[in-house]
Amino acid sequence: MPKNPLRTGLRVGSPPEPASIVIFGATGDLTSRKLVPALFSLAQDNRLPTSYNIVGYARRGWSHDEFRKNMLEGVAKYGRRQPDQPALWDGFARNLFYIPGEFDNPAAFNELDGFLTSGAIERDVPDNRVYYLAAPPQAYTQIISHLGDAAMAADGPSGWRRIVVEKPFGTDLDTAKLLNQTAHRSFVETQIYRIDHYLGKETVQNLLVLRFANTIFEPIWNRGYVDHVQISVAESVGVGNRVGFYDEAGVVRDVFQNHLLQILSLVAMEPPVAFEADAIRDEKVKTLRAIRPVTDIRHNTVRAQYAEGSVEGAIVPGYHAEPNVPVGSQTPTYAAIKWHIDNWRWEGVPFYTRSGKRMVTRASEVSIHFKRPPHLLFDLMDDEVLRSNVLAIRIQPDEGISLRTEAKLPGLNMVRRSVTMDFRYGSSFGVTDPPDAYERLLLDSMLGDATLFARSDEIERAWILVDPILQGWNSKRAPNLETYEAGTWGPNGADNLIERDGRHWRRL
Amino acid sequence: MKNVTIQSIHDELRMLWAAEAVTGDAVIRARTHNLIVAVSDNVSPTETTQRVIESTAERPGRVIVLDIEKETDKPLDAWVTTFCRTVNRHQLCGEVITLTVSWNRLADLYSAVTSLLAPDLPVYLWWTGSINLGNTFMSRLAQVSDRVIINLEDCADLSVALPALATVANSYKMGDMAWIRLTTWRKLLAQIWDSPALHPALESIRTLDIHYSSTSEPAHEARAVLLAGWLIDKLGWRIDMASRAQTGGLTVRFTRGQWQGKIEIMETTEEASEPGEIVRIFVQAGSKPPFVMPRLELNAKQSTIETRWNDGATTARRAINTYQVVDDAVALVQELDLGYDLDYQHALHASAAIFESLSRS
Repeated sequence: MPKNPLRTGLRVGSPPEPASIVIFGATGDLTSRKLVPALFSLAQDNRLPTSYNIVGYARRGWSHDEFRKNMLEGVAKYGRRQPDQPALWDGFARNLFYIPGEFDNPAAFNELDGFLTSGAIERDVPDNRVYYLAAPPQAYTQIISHLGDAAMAADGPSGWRRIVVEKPFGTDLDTAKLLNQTAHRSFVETQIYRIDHYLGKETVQNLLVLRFANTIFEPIWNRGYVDHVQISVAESVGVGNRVGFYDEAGVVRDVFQNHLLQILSLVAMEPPVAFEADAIRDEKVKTLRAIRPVTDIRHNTVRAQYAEGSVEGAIVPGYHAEPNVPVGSQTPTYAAIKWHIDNWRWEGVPFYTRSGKRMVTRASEVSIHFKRPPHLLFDLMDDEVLRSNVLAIRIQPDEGISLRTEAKLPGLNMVRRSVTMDFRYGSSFGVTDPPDAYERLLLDSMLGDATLFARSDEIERAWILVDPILQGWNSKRAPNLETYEAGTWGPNGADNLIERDGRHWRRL
Repeated sequence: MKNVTIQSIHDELRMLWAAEAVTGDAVIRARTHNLIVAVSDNVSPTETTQRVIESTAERPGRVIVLDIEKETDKPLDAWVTTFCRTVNRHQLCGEVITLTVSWNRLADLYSAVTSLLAPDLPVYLWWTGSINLGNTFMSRLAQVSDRVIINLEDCADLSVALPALATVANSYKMGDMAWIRLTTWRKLLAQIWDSPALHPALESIRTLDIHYSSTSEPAHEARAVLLAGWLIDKLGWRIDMASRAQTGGLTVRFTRGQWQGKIEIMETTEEASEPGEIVRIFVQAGSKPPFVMPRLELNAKQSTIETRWNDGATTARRAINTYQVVDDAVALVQELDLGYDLDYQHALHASAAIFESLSRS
């Protein structure tokens, strides 16, 4: 008989093993806005184990009850599941604890370890641990080192240890390597979960299903049929209260190095041998290795900052007028980059990528633009162009897939129109409250499934690609820092980047 | 539509969708399945249609409701309805074709149904009300269906229905609304035994009490019996004897290796709940002294299930989980989503064995 025969055949997902989740930086926004609401939703959906501890660790001298009170407010404000039943909240809150401590104080880590060990024994939770770095990035090295020094990092007979690291993973290749080396001194790679919340989104995961659970796309997913690919990540919001981070980072570090190159690698990678973390990540890394580093920076990249304009009916200030933006800041809030992938599948197929703040609307999309028919049977009017087929994968909002095809208008004349066949998640599956990306990723980290997390070599490969661009933008070779009116699709230079190849950005 | 033809039904549907597109927003239709709903004589077709529409708001498909009238000799009649609802800002649209016919014209109905199925999509047959397994019409429909969904709680006499269903389940892929409603209980029971400390106790269970919400209908013990059947199958228990107390409670004595235990299935009036709902499960495992005997108790209260347990050596543990009474629409969606469940077939066989033993005692 299996150890738990009641588990076999049960068609609902298995919960993770009982564990303690330790959140470093537990008094920050991420914890109350995302992490604890996500954990509460998982608990409400009966996806957490029967026994678990959620232990907050930060500098502030909160008590357990103060932590619980603050988290209750966060869950009530931001949670997918609301804490409107006292019995359910109380059942969850009993598992919440808080330990005050500095990130640079080794003794505090020993105290934390003592609490976790004794708490696990007292509460009959095996001493499995997920450490979640929700602290400021500059504290990562200290926290990881102290975890190692306090012998809190290694898997052992008492339980496993995992660490979840929030982006940014360094600010360039050197710092990323340093962070990886620091992490590897305390943890082995299989214990490290580098989170990119974009990968927790349904449509990003559906990209894998679309490509590898259907046979009709794979034969045409190559240079023989694809003219070019566009990947856009547009935000309508400005820099908000992230000026401190953003003005240092800029759009390339904030979006391209992680979300955008992750999506690009999922779109372009070869079929993995299995739906397993390393099989998928191996293919992603191969793709990243095949991407040609951008050399002609002035020709293949565009950078810009938003100026005052109107977004969704409201006048918004330009980047320089945003509170706390340094005078004369040269930080780009928009970038467009043209990439080439030097492999058999994609040789000669450009990948146009763009991302910016304060654009017309919030929209993220991958679009595969197919080649036009090689021989045209039908007469075209003077100004008419036969449009190519486009497969668009909308990541957010309104997740779904649409295929643009040409069709004949009803009637005696041979007149064509482009029509789209739309598959929208929301219109096909009535999901009233889809899980947040953090729910998926937190659950996966507890289950030990690293498929949707980035590996160290992926991170470093991505930096190898963006570092020359960042360096080029700081050199005499830099393209002009353009401006674009807030509420538009970006600067003229971005249009020129694609139009000189005889192509156009797809309107999102 | 009187004296309808299949073409006229298709035409009517097309007109309705065209009208919807003109008067409302653009209509996007998605279909994931065909759902044939056979409404028996004691169930209202209007209510059933409403429940189906609620469920198809989450999983749109073509729904064909069959209203079989026993009293009159009337030809095939049809209503066609399209509907669009907004779920989470998305418009979801579906279509319901209701076909009415008298029982002696069922051959007409069968051919109509099969020609109205949307092509190349799975077909699910949901048979509401009492189940007549000898019905030729039902068996023909079952043959074109990917799954036959029933509700064991609609069966008036479990001692007849369970053995018959266990046989039918060998031929067709069956789903059961009563079984789906046990999902939360099965999940929580399994979750408790994930604890390695409790593994030994799983092999030495000597008492299993299942309390279900009281009702005058004996068939409402269906869910409790299925749950017992699942545990009997999963834990490898051999049924020695089943007996019925004068109070109506059902006792099943079982053996596993050298170990003997008993299951008590009893109704309770303590909790305000839907008839047939499980309200409490109590498990006690035997153990040699001086150890404390492991105990597990799950109690449903309002929207929660409180679980208390110990592993025989430490202080009692407690967990609180969400519990929702699952209505027909939600149960149907879950049944469609989760797919065919072989465990159900095994539980059905074990449940049937309880009643076979009962008939011998």
